Amino acid sequence: MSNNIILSIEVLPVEMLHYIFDNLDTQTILYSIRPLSRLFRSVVNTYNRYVLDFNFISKSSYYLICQLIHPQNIISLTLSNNERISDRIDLFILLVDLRQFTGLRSFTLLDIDESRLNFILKRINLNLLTSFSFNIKKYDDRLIETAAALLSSTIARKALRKLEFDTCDRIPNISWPINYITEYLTPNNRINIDDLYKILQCSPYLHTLIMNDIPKGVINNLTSIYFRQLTSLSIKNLSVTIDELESFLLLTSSLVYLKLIGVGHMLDGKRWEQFIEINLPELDKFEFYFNEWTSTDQTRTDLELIIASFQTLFWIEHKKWFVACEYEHTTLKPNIISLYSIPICKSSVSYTPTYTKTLLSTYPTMMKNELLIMNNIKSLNLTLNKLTADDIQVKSVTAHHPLFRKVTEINLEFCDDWPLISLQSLFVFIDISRIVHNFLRTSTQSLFTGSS
Amino acid sequence: MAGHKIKLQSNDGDIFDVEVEIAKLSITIKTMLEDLSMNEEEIIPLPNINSAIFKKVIQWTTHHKDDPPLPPEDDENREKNTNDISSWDQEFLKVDQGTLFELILAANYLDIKGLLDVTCTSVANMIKGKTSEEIRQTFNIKNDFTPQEEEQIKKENEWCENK
Repeated sequence: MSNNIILSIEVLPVEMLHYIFDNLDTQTILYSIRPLSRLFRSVVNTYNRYVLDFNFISKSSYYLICQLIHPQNIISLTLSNNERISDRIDLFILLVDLRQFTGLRSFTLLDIDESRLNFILKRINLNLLTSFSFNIKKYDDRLIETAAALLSSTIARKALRKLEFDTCDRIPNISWPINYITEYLTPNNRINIDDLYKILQCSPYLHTLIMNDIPKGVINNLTSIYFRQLTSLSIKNLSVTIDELESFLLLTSSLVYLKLIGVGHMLDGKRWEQFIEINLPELDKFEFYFNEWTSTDQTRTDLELIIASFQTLFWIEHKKWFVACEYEHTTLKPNIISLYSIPICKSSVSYTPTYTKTLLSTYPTMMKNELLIMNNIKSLNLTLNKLTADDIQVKSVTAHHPLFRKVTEINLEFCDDWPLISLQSLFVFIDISRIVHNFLRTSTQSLFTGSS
Repeated sequence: MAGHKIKLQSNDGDIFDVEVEIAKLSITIKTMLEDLSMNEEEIIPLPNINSAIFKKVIQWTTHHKDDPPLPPEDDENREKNTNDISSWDQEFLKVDQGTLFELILAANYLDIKGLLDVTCTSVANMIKGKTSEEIRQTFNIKNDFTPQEEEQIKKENEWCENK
C-alpha cells in the first residue's frame, strides 16, 4: 500500500479476490472472470465457496459447471426437478461423482423422486452439512424404510442447524435423535400436532419454527404441552379460524418473534392486543399479512373501523407496531380486505394501481415511506393494463426511486388494453438491473420465461 | 470508555487520535489493546496503511460506529447476488480504483468486516453483467493467454453451448 503506486485489482491477494467472488454468481465467475487472464483462471480454479443453484441454470451451463468445478469446492447445492426441467437431478447424478462432495454446508433437493433421494443420500458426504432442505415429488412406498433410515441418519448429523422438509407422510418413520441440535425447522406440509410434539420433545435447542399452517389435530388434548423453547414462529399460509390459531399460540408462550401470513377473520386489533398481553408477554416483533374475504362492498368507514382497533396505546406507543389496511374497489367477488404490518412482511405481492384502492394506515407518514414499506418484497406480479399505464404516468413525474427496489423476480401479465408504452417505464416500480427472473404472459396464455 | 482516545500511526508517519470505541471496530486494533495490554499513551503503528487510506477508514468507522453487530459468518447467511450498498456507503466509495483496492487491503489488515464486505461488494458490482472483455477494460487487465490457451477456453465454452 504505497503512496505512489496505483494499485490494480491484480495485486489483491487471492483471499480478497475470493471474497469478491462471494458476491458473484457461478456463471459470472466461470464465463466472465475465468477467461480474463492466467492469473484469474488460477484464482478461479482455487475458489472453494461455490453456491450452486441449478434451479435456473440452462442445460448448456449445467455441463460447463459440472466440468469446471470440482465438487469439493461447492459449499451450497440446490438441485431441482420442476415442470421445465424434469430430469435435471438424474442428469446431475450422471455428470458428477457424488462421493467427491466433501465440503457441502447447505443442500437443497426440490421435487425429487424418493428413489433418487435415497440414491443421493447413500453416496453424498454430509459431514459438514448445516442446512438440509428437501421435498419429495414422487413417493415410492416400497422405499419407506430405506428412506426413513437415510433421513434419520442425515438429520442426526452433528453440524445440522436448519432442516426444511415436506415429507409429512414419512415423519412417523423417522427416528429423531434425543437432544436433537437443529435450531431452525421448516415443515412445509401441514404437520400433525403429534409429530410436531415428538420432534420438539427431542429438540431442546429448536428456537425457530416455520410452518405452512398450524398443525393438524386436536390441540385441546395437549393442554399440558408447551413448546417453550420456541422464540420465533412463522406461519406462511394460514387458513384457520382465529380460535384455532389462538389455541396453538397458547403453546408457544416464549415467542419473541411472530409472523403470520394467511386468510381468515383476523382483523380485530383489540382481540390481538388482549391475547398478546396475556399469552405472549415476550413478543417483541409481530409481522402479519391477512386477507379477509367479504361478499359485501366496503366503504372507507368500514376500513376506518378496522384500523381504529390498531390505534391504541398498545399498538402505537407500547409496541410501536404499525399497520395498513387496503381494499381494492373491483366488481369481482369476493372482495378482499388486506391488513398488514409495516413494512410488508411478504416477499411476493401483486400490485394494485393507486386509484383502484382505498389505503388507510396507522403509520403517520406512510406515503413518504413507501420505499421502506416495500423493502422485503422480492417478487412482484404486475398486470399491465390501462389502469397501470395511467398509474405509471402519474408516478413517473415524481418517482426518484423504484417503488419495489429490492424486487429480483417479476411476473408481467399483458392485457388487451395495455397501451404498449415502453417497458422502460417500469422503472417507477422496479430496478430493472436487479431482475434475475422474469415471466411474461398475456391475459390468456404464458409466453416465455427468462433468467439473467 | 467513550471519548477516550488512542494514537495510531500510519506508515508515512502521521499520528491519528482516534476514539477507542471507534478504533475497536478494527479487530486487529482491539486485539492489540486487549491482548498486548497496550496503554493509551503508546503509539500503535499501522505499517500497512498510509495516512490517506487511514483517514478514509476512520471516516467509515465513525459513521458506522453504532451499527448493530454483523451476524456470524456462515454459509447460510452469505447471500449471493446482493448488491445492496447504503447510499452513504455509495457516496463514500466514489473513489478511484486504486483507493478502492487499498481500502480492501486496509479492511482486511485491520479486520473490519463491514468495510471489507462493502468494498468487495462494490468491486463485484463493477463486474456484474459485463463480458470478459468489458471487465478487462474496466480494470485494465492484460489478456496474457497464448493463442492456444485462448482457443482452448473458447472451445470449452463452445462445447458447453452446443450441448
